[in-house]
Amino acid sequence: MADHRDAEECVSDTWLRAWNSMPPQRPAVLSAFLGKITRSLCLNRFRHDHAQKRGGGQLPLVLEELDQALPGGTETEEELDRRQLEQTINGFLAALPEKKRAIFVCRYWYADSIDSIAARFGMSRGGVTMCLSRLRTDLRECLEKGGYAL
Amino acid sequence: MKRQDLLEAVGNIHDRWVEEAHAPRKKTVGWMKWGALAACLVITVVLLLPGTALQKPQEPEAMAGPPSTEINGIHYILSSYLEIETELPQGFEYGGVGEVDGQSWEYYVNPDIPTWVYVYQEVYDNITQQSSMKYVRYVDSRIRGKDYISYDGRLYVSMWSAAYWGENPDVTRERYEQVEAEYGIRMKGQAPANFVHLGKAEFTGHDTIPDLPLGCNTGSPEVYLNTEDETILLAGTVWHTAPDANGEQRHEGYNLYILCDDPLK
Repeated sequence: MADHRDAEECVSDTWLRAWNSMPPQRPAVLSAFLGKITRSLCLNRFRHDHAQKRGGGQLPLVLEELDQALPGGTETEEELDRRQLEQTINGFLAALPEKKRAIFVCRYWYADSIDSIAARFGMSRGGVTMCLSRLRTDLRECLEKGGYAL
Repeated sequence: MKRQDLLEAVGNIHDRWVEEAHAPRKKTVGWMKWGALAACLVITVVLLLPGTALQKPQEPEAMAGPPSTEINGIHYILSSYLEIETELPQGFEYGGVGEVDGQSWEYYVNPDIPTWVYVYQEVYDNITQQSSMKYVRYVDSRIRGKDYISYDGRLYVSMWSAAYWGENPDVTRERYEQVEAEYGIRMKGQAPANFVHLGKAEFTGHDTIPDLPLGCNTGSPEVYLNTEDETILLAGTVWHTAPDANGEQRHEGYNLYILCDDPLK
């Protein structure tokens, strides 16, 4: 998140929500469980800020990139089968080599910057950008095969 | 489809991939350092030869996960519950010296619980900002992070933790996707009419493989059996989300469990 205070609030809200949900819900992987709560809170905060022309950071860039993975066609208001979409994305990720999957997750789940991904995987900035571009194209093809093209 | 749908769907990928992506990277081992040095020398030499085609060296593909160790051919990974003890748990005895992420530590075994080892290692406390020696539980990678329910001699794994990829998948991808398409990983609301209430499962302890007539290794949920397909169970649960369209944050429902093979076979 661009604003440090927003980020701190999201972290505080994460602890509160985790406190409320454990038990009875015990996550298999605690870090991912907490991360999913934080991610959801951040996205909500981002939407709110974006509506008021605030915000910044990596999220606008990540959203812009994800547009390139969207199947073609006109946008409709139809209700998507979210479960099926999640299944398709999970299937897409399961078929990727570990490193490519991790790069995808770093960018589109964690919204990590290109520089930080490059440093993590010992790659050049251009190498990461190229890898992500190919992954978006592959995801788009996978979604189209899954019947998401309109 | 809108970008928001895609962004939210990406948010619900498997937990293990979320963990995997931000896991500490493995330190380069000695031979790799020397290998890289040798490769550099080769490239330097090649660069001195005009007109020679250069091939870009491949990035090492090795990924690191959570801290882990290999003992007697079994791969043990840090417990997903972060079970850390000051005293050595009862029944465990000295097993030898093992290696975790390049450092050597003593480990302790219990013949009655071969799926666990305790490693006596340095642990850093984020709150006190101090390091101390503790007994840390490592769990057989085949069962680590898996949510199981035992019923009537059969073992079921939660759809959350079931893997249909890798060397030892819990279920086939076809079966996983079939169940996911029909019921999802978790369902909200009341159990469908074809599910009968079996009772409250007995908690068998974290990181265990339950073997009771109705046991569970994550808690004591109410369990329901699909009478039309006994390979599927439901376990009662509650979860919280950001406010949905109706402003609701607390949701009640069921986690899906599917029949799996013996994970240690």
